[in-house]
Amino acid sequence: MVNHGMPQTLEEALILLKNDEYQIIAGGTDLMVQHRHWAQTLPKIPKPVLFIHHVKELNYLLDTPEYLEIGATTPMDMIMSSPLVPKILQHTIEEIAAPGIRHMATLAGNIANASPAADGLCTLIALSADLVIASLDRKRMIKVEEVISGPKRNKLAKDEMIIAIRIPHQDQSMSEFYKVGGRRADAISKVSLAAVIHVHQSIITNWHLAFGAVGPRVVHDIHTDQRMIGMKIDDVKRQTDAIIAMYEPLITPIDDQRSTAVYRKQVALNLIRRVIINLH
Amino acid sequence: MSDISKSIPKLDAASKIAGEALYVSDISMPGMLYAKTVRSTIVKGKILSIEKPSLPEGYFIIDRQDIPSRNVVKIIFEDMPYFATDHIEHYGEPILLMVGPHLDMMDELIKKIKIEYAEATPLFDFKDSVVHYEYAKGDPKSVFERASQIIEMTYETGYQEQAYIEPQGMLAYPEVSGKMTFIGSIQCPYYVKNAVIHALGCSEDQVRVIQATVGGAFGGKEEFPSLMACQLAVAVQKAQKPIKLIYEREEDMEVTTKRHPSKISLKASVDEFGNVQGIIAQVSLDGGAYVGLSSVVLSRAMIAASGAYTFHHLSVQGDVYRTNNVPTGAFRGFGAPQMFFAIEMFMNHIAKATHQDPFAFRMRHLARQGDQTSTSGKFRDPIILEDLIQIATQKAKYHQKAKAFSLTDQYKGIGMSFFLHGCGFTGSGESTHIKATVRLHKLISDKVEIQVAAVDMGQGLKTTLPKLVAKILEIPIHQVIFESPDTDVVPDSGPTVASRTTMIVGGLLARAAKELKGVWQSGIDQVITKRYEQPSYIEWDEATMKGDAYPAYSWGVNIVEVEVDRLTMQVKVKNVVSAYDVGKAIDEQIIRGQADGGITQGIAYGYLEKMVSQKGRIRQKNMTDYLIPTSVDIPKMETILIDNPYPLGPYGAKGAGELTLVGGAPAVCLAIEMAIKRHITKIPATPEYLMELINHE
Repeated sequence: MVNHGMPQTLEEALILLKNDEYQIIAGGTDLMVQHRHWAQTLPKIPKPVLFIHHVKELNYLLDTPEYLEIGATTPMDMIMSSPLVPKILQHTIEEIAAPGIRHMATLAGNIANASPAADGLCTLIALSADLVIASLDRKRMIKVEEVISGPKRNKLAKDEMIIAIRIPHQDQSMSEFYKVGGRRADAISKVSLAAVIHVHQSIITNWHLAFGAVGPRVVHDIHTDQRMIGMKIDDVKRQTDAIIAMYEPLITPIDDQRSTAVYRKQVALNLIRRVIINLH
Repeated sequence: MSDISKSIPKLDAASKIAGEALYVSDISMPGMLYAKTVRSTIVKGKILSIEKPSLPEGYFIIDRQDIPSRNVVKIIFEDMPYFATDHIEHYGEPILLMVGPHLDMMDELIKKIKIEYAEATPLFDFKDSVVHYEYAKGDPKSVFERASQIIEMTYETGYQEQAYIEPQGMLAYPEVSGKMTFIGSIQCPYYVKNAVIHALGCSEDQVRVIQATVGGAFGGKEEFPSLMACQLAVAVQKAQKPIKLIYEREEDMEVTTKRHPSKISLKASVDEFGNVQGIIAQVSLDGGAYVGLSSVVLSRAMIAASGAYTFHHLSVQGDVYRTNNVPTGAFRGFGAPQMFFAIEMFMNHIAKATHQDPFAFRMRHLARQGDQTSTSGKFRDPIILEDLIQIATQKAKYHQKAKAFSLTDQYKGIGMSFFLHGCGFTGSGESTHIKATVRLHKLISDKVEIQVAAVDMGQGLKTTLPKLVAKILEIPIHQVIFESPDTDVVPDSGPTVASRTTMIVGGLLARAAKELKGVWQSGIDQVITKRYEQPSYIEWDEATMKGDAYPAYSWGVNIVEVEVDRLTMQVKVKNVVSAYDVGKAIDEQIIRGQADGGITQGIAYGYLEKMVSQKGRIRQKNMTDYLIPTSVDIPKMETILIDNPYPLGPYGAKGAGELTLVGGAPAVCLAIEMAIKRHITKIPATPEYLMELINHE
């Protein structure tokens, strides 16, 4: 007998997780598709389902002096329309799927699902976002990028769930998300780039580039990014080719049914050029 | 009397919006069973053994051993079995049906079926020609000998998927009388009926076919449903229960017929004045594992070899190649979209190669009334293509924009295509193969019932045919009844294909209505029947492909403006202007609907919709990976209609269903060419391909 869970509170959810192994579903917009079966039959999800969509206490946006916190069941649509949310994240969500999906889908689900093409993931990593993860016994924080171990794999323990996302407040004079999909809406990214940058008195003081769909995980290399800190805008523009060359080894895309490795690589590098062209 | 073109609300809109219209998947019957298809998981080879599980009561496996008569689907070329023989010729070939009352149990049972194969080497290249046609006009050999310049190019086109919103589906059940009835999402009720008669070896009165509401077809439901019907016929005979077979989206995209990929080589002989004297064309189509109706697609492509131009000397050869890809089949345009892409790009490429202004060059070669057609027939009726071009270029500001975009490096472009589409079946097909019959039945209540086998699949027949009849009879439209066809009631007015229905079936209905009006007696049951008669001037020799290929032609101009992102090579369609001559619109709004949908599908064929077969398997098998345009991808479109009534069409109407698709691909590709200053020879012109062009030139 399979026991599915439909908790109303976080505590109920964590108790269930403590006692049994579950597949957590928030919006279901990825999982229902992944486990789809014939029409008029139920999806074949291998584990019992823990449906946390009704856990109201996780549906919130909270601004603090240090960070913005987004509860795990907050739908993307709500995040997109909140004035508390950084513009780059709003813009990213606008590019994800279509309104119907955004009413159900959650950012936490986007992270746990760990697709290398997930647009939300890409921007959250560029924003240096943290996750608050809880089990019945403990609570811990982890960087978004550290929770992902590979395509569709995360490092959450069986009894753990994401309860919130924390986006640290930071200086960002120029933050942009470029999505290159097969069409202009409702498409999975062939390549994407989230850039979170701050320029103070013509000097780079913050620089994060995160690339989607060009490797098994979102590509974000903090060491490469840090080499940009302290550079003058003019120098950045002058050395565009060298900077692109610096990122080049990190970009390792594949051929698949949506695009080619050659195209993805060239476009990813061209998008760095676009960031630098737009830099001010 | 008001103009027939003035739009009225579509008569079937309310029932569709209210969710009352019944699609085959909505229909359930007492004791109904489901069917699912078990398919080959190899591309080519031999079935060594099939291990079947023991079945619980009420479950059945149906395969070729159950077939009472012939294991072949009756299409034009009879080579496709409806249950695989020992030899597998393509991935996903149907081997057997699992039939039963519970889908989940059927799934379990299917997993227990073990099929052992011996794989063989599949063929994907154009090597095994199964159909070869050729025709000539004038004396191509001598003009090539005298040519001052010879230009040669090769063009390639890819698959296109119909992407109807409703997947393939059919329900069949036994009647007490022993008759078998089929309800399906179909375009051609009599194709299905004849295929079943052929498969069961039964008599005509043993099979009845009824059309359910159809959620889009685009040619995809022309011949393919016959295969499902043959399988179900055998299954119902065995199970003696109603059985419903509905395809899953991915199953549908992986195995059902799609547009033929093509390779078209063109050679032009150009004289010292820069005029094309003659063209030599070689058209190659990938027919997939079974030929089916590919020969007819080939002939339509070949006949379109001179595009909307007149060339006095032509030599056209064509082949359908058998490969181990999934079979290709009917799709809106039927060979013409491939050829119009090639010839329109070629005309532009000739102009470039001979340093001429492409517009002036193309205008000089336009077909005119009285000219010989490609197949040495005659353009008898007035051609108003120049009027269409003039109004479209004005509205789109074509000349100003073309000049500005050609000279600068702003990655913007504007492209224009000229095209025509022959209405109805090729040659004497209407009189020799189809022999359409229509009937008007006036009931005692003075309501008039339209009895034809034509199917409304979204294109508006449920409105246009009653509108025609009501108008001629001068009665209110609600006094005219047009039910979805049931072969026990309606005569065979032919398949709903080839842009023939309004012109041919509508034309016959108009004649029937005129006759009925003359003999109308209130309160009396009256029946008027009309049969197709070929216009006496039509002469067609099928063997040499000489004569009048079509009784009439519709014409069009598409202008598409694009912007290309120079870093990502993504194409943004900025503006679309079209002008069409469809004779006379029976309902203007319905024609505009056809125009918007057709050009969207045509443009997307040119730059967006990518489907490839990798070692025999379709890689883009769902709507996530096979991208069709959304409303965000397509701008507001402007469509101009100019009346040019065809004397034999009802109120002057000609064909319109396919015309609006065939010019989309060349128009968008010519625009992209202007934007990136490179030759495009392949569609879809995806960003990946454009990047390659930019990198390698």
